[in-house]
Order: sequence, then structure tokens, then C-alpha cells
Amino acid sequence: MSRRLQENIVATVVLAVFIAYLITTLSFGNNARLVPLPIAILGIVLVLIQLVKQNLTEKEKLEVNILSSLTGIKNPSPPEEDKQPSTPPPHKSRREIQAILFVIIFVGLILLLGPVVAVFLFSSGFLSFTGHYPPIKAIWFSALFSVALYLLFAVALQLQLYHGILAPLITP
Amino acid sequence: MLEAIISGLTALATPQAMLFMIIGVSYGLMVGILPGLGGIVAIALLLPFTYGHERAATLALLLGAHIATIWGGSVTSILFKVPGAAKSLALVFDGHPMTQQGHASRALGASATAALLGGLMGAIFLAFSIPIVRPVMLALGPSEYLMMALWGLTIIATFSEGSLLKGMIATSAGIMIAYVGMDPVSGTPRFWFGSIYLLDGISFPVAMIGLFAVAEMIKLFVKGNTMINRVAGEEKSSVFDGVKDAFRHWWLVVRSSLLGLWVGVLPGVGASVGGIAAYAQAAQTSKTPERFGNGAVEGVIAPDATLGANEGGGLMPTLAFGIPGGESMAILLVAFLSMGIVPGPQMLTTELDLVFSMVWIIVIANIITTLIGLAISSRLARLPTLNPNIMIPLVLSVCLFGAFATRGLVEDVLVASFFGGLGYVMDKYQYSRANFVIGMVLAEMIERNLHISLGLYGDYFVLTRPITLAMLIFIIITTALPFLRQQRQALYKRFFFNKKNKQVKE
Repeated sequence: MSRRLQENIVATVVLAVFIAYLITTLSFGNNARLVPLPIAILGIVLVLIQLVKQNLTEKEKLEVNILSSLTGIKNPSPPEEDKQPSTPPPHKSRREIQAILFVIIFVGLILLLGPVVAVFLFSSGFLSFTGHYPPIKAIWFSALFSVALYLLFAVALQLQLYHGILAPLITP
Repeated sequence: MLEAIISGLTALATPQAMLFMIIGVSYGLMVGILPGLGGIVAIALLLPFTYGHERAATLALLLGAHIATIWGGSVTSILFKVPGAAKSLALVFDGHPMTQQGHASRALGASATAALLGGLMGAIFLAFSIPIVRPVMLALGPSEYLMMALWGLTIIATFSEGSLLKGMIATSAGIMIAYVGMDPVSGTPRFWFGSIYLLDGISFPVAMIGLFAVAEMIKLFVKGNTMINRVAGEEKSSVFDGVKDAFRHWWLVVRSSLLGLWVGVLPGVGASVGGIAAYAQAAQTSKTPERFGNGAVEGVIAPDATLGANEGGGLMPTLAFGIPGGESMAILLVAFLSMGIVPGPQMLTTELDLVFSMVWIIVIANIITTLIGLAISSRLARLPTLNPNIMIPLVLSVCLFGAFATRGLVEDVLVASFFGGLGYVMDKYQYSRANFVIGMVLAEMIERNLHISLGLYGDYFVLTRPITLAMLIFIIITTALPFLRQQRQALYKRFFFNKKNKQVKE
């Protein structure tokens, strides 16, 4: 998928959100929509201009490079992280999907089992998956980390913990 | 005022405040040194811990961490050529060559001392600006505050790195999100879709955790497990050579600090600009500019003094007008609001002691950071590797646990992860997250002051209040200026190229 197509998809989604926002705003009273209404209209106008611009121009023309205008330095040497991909990620989109999946799995575990158990399962699974630690070491490390978080949040900050959707099935 | 200065200091003389300050500074240094994190993530992760403690102690934790991350970010720029945050980029130019030449300890010593001196100047500025700003603030009415908030939004969008249009879209989206929940003026529930959870609005701290911390972890994973390796060579100088360098170039420190103050006071012009601008002025005013880029210690001193002073400058508009100087100030503002600290004239009247507590925190946190920094610099100089791989599960766990801890609601975990995804997409397609946050923060100020202005001065208040009108004209000019400049440059280029093409044809 080309960068331009990706940009168009993002801009279209943003446009749809602004339109939905505008339609919802119309159902409010005068006072309640005094600011949201113009913001929605402004947002729609801006996204439309952006869509036209990004499809008609080769390069973004509305960039205001404050750094170069202030200093005259046009190409400061790029930082190491930008030019040192020792092993460049082979399939960026695959890694993006993996990253999103990791977050979804983690959130799912929190909803099902509560944060403490979820942290243990997620961190041991992640460290084993990435091969950072061998499984046994990953489990030990994650257990220690989960206990530390429990002590910090539940004991020190006296937070009422959530035990997950599955808790009523486990506890009598 | 003397009373406020003393009570500001005594508020910090409690065991809790001292402990929180040390925890904040140590945590800030640790997070700052880890590449890919930085000050914004550090503050976002601290937001769940800001409830239920002494206000001065919580401020010590937040500001202490914030100040320490600045120097922490400089460390990775100098040692690994990896800026801990965008604002530390300028330190790469000369800091890393110094490391390669075996002067890492000297560079770190100069960096820590310059940051301390700059930080002290920032604190002094903040203290001295209070009696000057106070009468101005008390003279302004709600319509002028409305204009200031609008100016803050437009100037932030104008100066946003990357696309101006995308910056403005992000700002509008931020404002949009801020209006989810009950309207404080009319009591109308807005954008709640029948959910009781949404009726309370989106929690700003939870959104910050998602937008910055969760998104950064997604970014780090996508980028791959980059190992930062270097061969730690023999050191040819000591930390105290760097300390002496900073004092020897005292005039450069003063100039750079003043620049940092100015950049901090201007809304929207972030510290990243300040660092580069300081480096440029150091190079331009040097008698030996050819040394810059090859390990000149002045190239380390100038950006760090600017970054140190920037905080004092940035706190002034944040506290006095509720207009954050940059993204880190926007997150600090979110933290202040969640602690019940509302920016405005009361900060310089009834809450003056709290402002002086902040001044003292800047002073003490800078001193502690520098002392710790100087003590660990020689060890850091021999640090061969940093592996961010392990950071992902740890930071992500703290993020989502922290999101839950903010209000004890499991829905906040969902919201944080949603904003994490949103933050990643925004970063990838260059819709400024900073603008989004600043839009969120200023939305309430705009709506409240607009309603009050309409109620007090009538529908045509802009025309009947001369200062408001003048401010509106100023906003229009400052917003239109970049567009006009672009058009002029485009016209110039077209004219120039046409002329050149003609000459080539001839």
C-alpha cells in the first residue's frame, strides 16, 4: 500500500469522525454546541484541504521548518536511531499487527483476570516470545515484577484491585 | 511576597516532600537515560500517583522527575548519539564526537553543570517575573483570556513540526475529545452515547498515558529490538574538567539561558527548538566556529543551559494563563489540573506559596540532578550497551496498571489502549500529538471564557473591548503569516526558476 493511499485512508477516517461529530452536535441546545459546532466545521474544512493538498502536490508544501528558519541549519545530522537499524525490521506491517495484538491480548487479560495476573502472564509471555529470557527466567522475572506492582498499587497506594470477569467463576 | 517565598520552601521541608523529590529525580534520570522514553512518557507514567498526597510533595515528584529527564536525555545524546528526547538532539552534534575522542566524562560534567546553571536562572526568572506579570493578569478579563487561549492554539499549530494543516487538524481533534461528557455550562450530556462512563468525560491523565507511553511502546516494538552498542574507550579527561568548562564559558551559559527563558515563555515553541537555536547561536558567536561538530565543549554547554532554563520560562505562561509552552508543559498542566491546581490569576495571589514551592523545587531538583549526575557520570561514560527490549512489557504493564489506578475504573484501561493506538497512528502520519494534547487542555478554557464573555459583555464583545479586538487582529496576523510567507517563497521560487530556465534555453 503506497504512503499516499495510507495518508488518504487516515484523512478519510478523520473526516468521517468530524462529520459524525458535526451531526451529533446539531442535536444539542445552543449553549452546548456553541464551541463544538464551529470546531467540527473547522475540522471538516481542514481535512478537506489536507486531502486536496496531499493528492495534488508532490511534497507537503505547508511545512514550516522553525528549526531551519531560526538557525539556518538545514540538515542537522540525523540521530543514530534513525540511521542505525542494525537489523532493519523485515516486515513493518507484520510487526505493527503484532504490536496491536500484544496490546489487545494484554487488555483482554486485564478484563478477564484483573491487572496483577494479567501483568504476570503478559510479561512472561512477551519475554519468552521475544527470546529475551529463557522461559523459566522469564517466569521468575515476571513474578517478581508483578509482586512489585501489587505492592506499589495495592499496598502502598491502597488501590481497590479489579479481579476480572472470570473472578466470580473462580471464587465461591 | 517574602512570606510566600518562605512558606513555599517550608512546604517542601516535610519528609514526604523530600522523599518524593529524591524518588522523582532518580526516576527521571533513569527514564531519561532510556532511549525512546523521555520526559513526556515519564510524567505520563507518574500521573496515576498524583492523588491523595501533599500538594507540594506531589509537585516535587512531578517537577523533580521532569527536570531530571532533561539531563537524562542529554546523556544518551552524548554517549550513544541517540537523543533521549527531541529536545536533546542538539547535544548529538558535539557531545558524541567528544565521547569518541575519549572525553565522555568531560562532556557529561559540562552538560550537568550547564543544565544546573540554566535551571537556576530559570527559577530566578520565574520568581522575579511574578510581581511583573501579576498586575497584567489581574487587569485582563474573560474575553482577553479567551483570546489568549485562541492565540495559544493557533501559535502552537503554526509552530508544530511537520505539516501546518495536520497540526491544526490534531488541535481540533483534541478540542473535540475534551467536550465528551457533561457540559459544565448548560449541563447537557455531550457525546456520551448512553454510556455512564463517558458522561464523566475522558480522563486526561489516562489519555496522556495512552497517547505517549503506550504509543511509544508500540513504536519501540515495531522498530525492532535495536541494540545500542559502543566500545567504551579510555577516558582522557575527568568530570571536573567539564564543570570547569561550564564556568569558564559563563557568558555563553548566560546567553543560552536567556534564550531558553524566551523560548519557554513563547507558547508552542518547544524546547527542541530551543536546543537547536542555542547550538546555532553558540556556533555563530564563537571565534572558532570550525570546531563545532568536531567535539567543541561549547556545543554541549549551550543546548543544556537552554534546556535547563526553559523550564522556568515555560512554567510562567502555564501557571499564569493556562497556556502550556510545549508538550511537556501541557502534560504538567494536566497533572496540575488533576491535583486541583487551576492556572489563572489566583496562582499569583492566593496560591502564591505554591508557585514559590515550584521555584524552590526547580532549584533543589536541579542541584540534586547535577550532584547525582556528576557522581554517576564516570560510570555512565563506561556504559557499553542499552537494551530497550525488556522495557516494552515493563512499561506497558505500568501504563495499563497506572491507567486503571487513575480512577479505579477498568474502562480506563480500554481508553488508554485506544489512545495508544491513536497516538501511534498520529505519530506515524505526523499529526502532532502535542497539538492534540494542547487542544484538549485549552478546550475547557475557551468554552468557559466564551460563555462568561457573552454573558458579561454581550454578543459583540469582541468589538466593544478594544484589547480583545487588538488581540484578535494579532491572532489573525500571526496565523496568516506562515501561509503568506509560504506563498511568497513559492512565488519567488517560481520566478527564480523561470528566469533560470530562460537563461538555460538562451
